[in-house]
Amino acid sequence: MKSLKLYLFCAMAFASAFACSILYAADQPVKKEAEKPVEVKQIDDDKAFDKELKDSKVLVLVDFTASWCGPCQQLKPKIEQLAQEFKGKILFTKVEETVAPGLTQQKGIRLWPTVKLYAPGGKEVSESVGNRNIDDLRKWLQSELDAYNKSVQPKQQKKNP
Amino acid sequence: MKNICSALAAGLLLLCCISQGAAQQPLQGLAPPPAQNVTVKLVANTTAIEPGKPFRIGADFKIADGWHIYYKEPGDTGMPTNVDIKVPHGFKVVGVEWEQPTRFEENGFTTYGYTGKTTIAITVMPPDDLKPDDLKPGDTIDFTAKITWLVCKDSCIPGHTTSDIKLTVASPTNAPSAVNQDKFANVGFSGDVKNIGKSTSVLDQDLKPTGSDTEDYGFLTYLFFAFIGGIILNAMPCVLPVISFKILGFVKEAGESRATMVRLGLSYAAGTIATCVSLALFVIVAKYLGYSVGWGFQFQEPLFVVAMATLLTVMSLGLFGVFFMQVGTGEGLDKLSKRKGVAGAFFTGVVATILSTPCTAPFLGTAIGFAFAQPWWVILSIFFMVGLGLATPYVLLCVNPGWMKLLPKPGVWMENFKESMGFILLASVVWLLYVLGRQVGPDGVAGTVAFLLAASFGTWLYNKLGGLEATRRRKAVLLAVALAIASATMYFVTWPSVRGGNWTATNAPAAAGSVTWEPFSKDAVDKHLKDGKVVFIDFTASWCQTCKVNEATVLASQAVTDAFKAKGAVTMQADWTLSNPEITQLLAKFGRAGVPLYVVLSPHRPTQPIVLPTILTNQAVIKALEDASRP
Repeated sequence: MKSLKLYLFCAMAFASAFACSILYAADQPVKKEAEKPVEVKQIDDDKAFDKELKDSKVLVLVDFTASWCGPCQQLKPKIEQLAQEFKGKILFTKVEETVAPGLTQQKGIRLWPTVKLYAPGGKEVSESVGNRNIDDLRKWLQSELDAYNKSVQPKQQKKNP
Repeated sequence: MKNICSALAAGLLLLCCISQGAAQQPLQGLAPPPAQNVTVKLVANTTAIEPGKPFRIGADFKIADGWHIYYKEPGDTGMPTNVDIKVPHGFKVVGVEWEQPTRFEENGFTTYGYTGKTTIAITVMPPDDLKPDDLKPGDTIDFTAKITWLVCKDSCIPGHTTSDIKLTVASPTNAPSAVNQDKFANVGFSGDVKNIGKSTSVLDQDLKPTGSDTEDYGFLTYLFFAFIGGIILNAMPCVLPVISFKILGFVKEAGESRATMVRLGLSYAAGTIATCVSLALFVIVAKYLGYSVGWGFQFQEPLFVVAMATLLTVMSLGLFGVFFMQVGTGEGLDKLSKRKGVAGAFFTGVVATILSTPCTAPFLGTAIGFAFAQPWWVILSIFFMVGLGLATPYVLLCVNPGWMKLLPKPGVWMENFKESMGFILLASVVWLLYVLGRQVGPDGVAGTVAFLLAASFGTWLYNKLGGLEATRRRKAVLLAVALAIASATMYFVTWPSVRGGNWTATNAPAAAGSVTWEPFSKDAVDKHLKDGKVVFIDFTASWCQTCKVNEATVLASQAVTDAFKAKGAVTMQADWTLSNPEITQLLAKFGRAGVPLYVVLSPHRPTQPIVLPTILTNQAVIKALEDASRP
């Protein structure tokens, strides 16, 4: 009887250790993926800008930002956060004024930060100005994304049959 | 019909004028900013320019609610506002001044700038040979400025404009008069943003102290000062708690051989020097870690005061005979006892030094103050010299014990004397409790007394029941019980009352008399100086016995209080009983690392404070007050 108890205890201990290790192992790959966040790609000149828009299959977000602009610095982490959330649906890029002053002037950026959304190909879809809170930005992106998807789907349906 | 026609013509003419006016505006590639968040125009502080007389042109900004523009040093982010003024030939721009910017904290970014309205003033020097005669009446001189800025709120908008102002030249018929005074009223800042927010207090400026101990001496002189100061420290009021040790030491040694006495004297010296060097090491480490410490800093820590009080209480019990404390009588020949005697002398040196630190002496303050601002080896050598100085008189007496012959022969009287010394130690405990009371209030004192009681009981228990005949096991149990009682008291009573209490230390004016002592603050000092009053600052601490003596004998004396009143001087007390970095910094500014420090500030020469000697005299105070009130 005593040895049975001992045996049971050992078995349970072993089982729980095994379960733990499996759970841990199962947890690992998820963690590894989370460690690689999507980066907000910096665009440094108009050629690269045009190429990004041309090559993209999804909406392109461009954060026109500047090192001398306080609200831009505050917006930056929010954009980085949203880049994770809209991963694969919207391509996140940024243009730094001190690096590409010509480009920002060409795009007529007067208020900083300005975030613009472009359709693949380069058509400007929408813009947002200032350091808005992340919920508003998320709603804005979602609604633009929905509108864009709606506008694209009918065409695809026509092509399909 | 005719009327209509003329009206039309006038209208057309008007339209023409307007369009012409608009055309005069420089139309550049960029359209004006989308929102009129910033408007700016040039203003001048005079109606007419006089030859060779500087005047000001201001860029007068109006900024929309919630938005701000930046100072020339914008901070972590932002862009400096810029006024680029073009002056005619012969004119010179001699200075640009701003209003003191506001500090903005935006999510971790610190920036400096302006909200509402501000003026950037440019001082212009006209040529000496500016002749109004060359100009026809009504002719003007044109100043143009290109102004750029960045205005931010939730977003930023870079802006720019060109503005101009036309000024006439002064002539007998066109006398200059001052205008726009309000716009220039707050202008006068062009310095480092580090100086914003901090009050531009007199005490923050470059001070040139005059009076006692304010010159700069060489390193060797400071070493000598440290040594002399150490010797004098033996005669300072701190001698009170230490005196019992010293006298007892001599009494102990009265019957010893000369060689033993020298050995004891040297171990005492080793104790003082070792303590001083340890203090120096502590100071060096604290400085390295960025803490501000000063002479006697350990007394700023209430727990240190508790520890000292406990140590002295337990030692007094030893003197009362609760336990056997090494008193060399006849057994001095025994080797073991000799070694114990050496250790005892060393320990005496340590305690004497620690208890001397709340005092400072002439020369000592200067030397220590010098040392604190120096590299580690200077601190170390100065402290070493202080220790040496402290020990010197004692060592000398040991080496040359001629006067000991005056002492009666060893006998019963020594036991009585020893016990009476126990009361002197207890008197020191009373003093420490007073200091503690200032630091942590009545609850802390009660808690500490409880701990003293517990420690005394533990000591008594251990020694009474664990006497010579007790077994080792019994001793161990007793020791455990004694320690348990003491620790329990510390944990449940003393620690919470000393550490947890929300007592705010208030140093009630110690100097009596009919003079009111205000608590020190830089703002108050500035205010009183502005009001034309002489300010006397007493840098003091409850544990600083030199301070207490000065306050009781000089500052509260009739002659000095009369002088304070006669000169209308404001008396202030800067209390250093607890750690206070602001006061430590200020002490350092006067080349000191500790209290007391007495400073007299003159409203006429605020940046030349008069520093009084460490040991105050009525004459010194009165003379300084007279000097300070002289315009």
